[in-house]
Amino acid sequence: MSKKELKLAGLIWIIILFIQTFMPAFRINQMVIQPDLILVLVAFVALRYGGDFAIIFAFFNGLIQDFSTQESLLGILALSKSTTAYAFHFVQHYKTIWTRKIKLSSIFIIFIFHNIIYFYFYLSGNFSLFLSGLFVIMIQSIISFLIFLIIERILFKSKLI
Amino acid sequence: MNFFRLFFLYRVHVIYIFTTLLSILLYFSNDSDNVKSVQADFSDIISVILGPKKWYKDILNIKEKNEYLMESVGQLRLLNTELIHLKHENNELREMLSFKNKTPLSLKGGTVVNSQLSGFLHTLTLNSGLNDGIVPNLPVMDINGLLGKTNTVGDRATSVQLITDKNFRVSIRVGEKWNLGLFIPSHGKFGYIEGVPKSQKVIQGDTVVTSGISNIYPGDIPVASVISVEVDSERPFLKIIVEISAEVHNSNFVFIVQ
Repeated sequence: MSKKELKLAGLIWIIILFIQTFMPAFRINQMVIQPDLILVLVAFVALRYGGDFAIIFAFFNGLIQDFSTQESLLGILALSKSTTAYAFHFVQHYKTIWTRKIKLSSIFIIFIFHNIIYFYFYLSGNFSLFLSGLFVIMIQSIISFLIFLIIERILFKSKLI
Repeated sequence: MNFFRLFFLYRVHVIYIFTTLLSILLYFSNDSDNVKSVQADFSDIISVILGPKKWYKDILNIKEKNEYLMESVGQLRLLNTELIHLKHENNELREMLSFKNKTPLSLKGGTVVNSQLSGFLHTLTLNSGLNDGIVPNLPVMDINGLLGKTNTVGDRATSVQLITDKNFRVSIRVGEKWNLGLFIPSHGKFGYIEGVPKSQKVIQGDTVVTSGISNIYPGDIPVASVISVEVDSERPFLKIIVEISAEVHNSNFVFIVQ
């Protein structure tokens, strides 16, 4: 990565962090939904630069997000984000073997998996509450996936995966 | 393959494990109710996972405890047997002590260390000897009656000729008029009385006691009890069969009459 690219990446990262911190949440049927831009960023980093860097990047971003959203449950987002980055590592690893459809499906499943981890710990392991939050998980995952698809199409001309 | 090469090969997995552990550590370091609830869930899962291990450990512990208890039971059984024996010995000694206090005879206790009750010679060996003031030809008895007499005496041990010995003889009195007679052993615990005239009245159950005319035996020591009396027309004396009073075959402690 050149110095110019590095500076650009750093700038994008700070902008995304800023947007994520101050982005307003919206409500659907009394459920609070906030698109997770950092999750999308982690997905791009993992698919572009590989697993090792992506896991560390995801961990620190998760930690920052933990500090900025809720300090009482520190570590949830760091865990879910680093796990997501680890899963993306496999998508990147089988980039030349899997078809685009399989890779997209995997990415969508990973987004769902990320939200499941987050909500499980956020709802303190309460299974009944967790079941009622499945709708939110799906909505969050779909939003994140759509953002991922749009950016991938615009910036990478559908050639990243 | 050195450590760094291994790390480089598996760096993604190592980094992921490290970050995961760090995240979990951070999460569980919180003190909120949510975290406690998740901790409880984790504890449940861990207890389920470790359940078989605990079960196996319990089985092993039970097996070890069982072996230990088996050993203990064996030891306690031995101890119990020993205690029963000691109780019996205690009772015997109490009876002997009571007897010693009641009798006018001067008695000295002795412990039987060996007995020879088969063959021609019937003897007992006592753990008292010359050092304890024992000399040859002293009467030996138990609480039931005459047992024999001291024969050969060493410094620390004494051989006793038993009443059942084939060569043993003792002058006795028996019957309504305490007629003189001679006790002769026959077999086992039995013997017969010689020299009691047919005219004398002797009945079954009469006690045979030492006559007191001997230099060895003082009078009135029970010797035997009459179990049958027969009158033989061809003989001048009664045929009296007696059973020896003393516990010849089961003596542990005896008295030496001094």
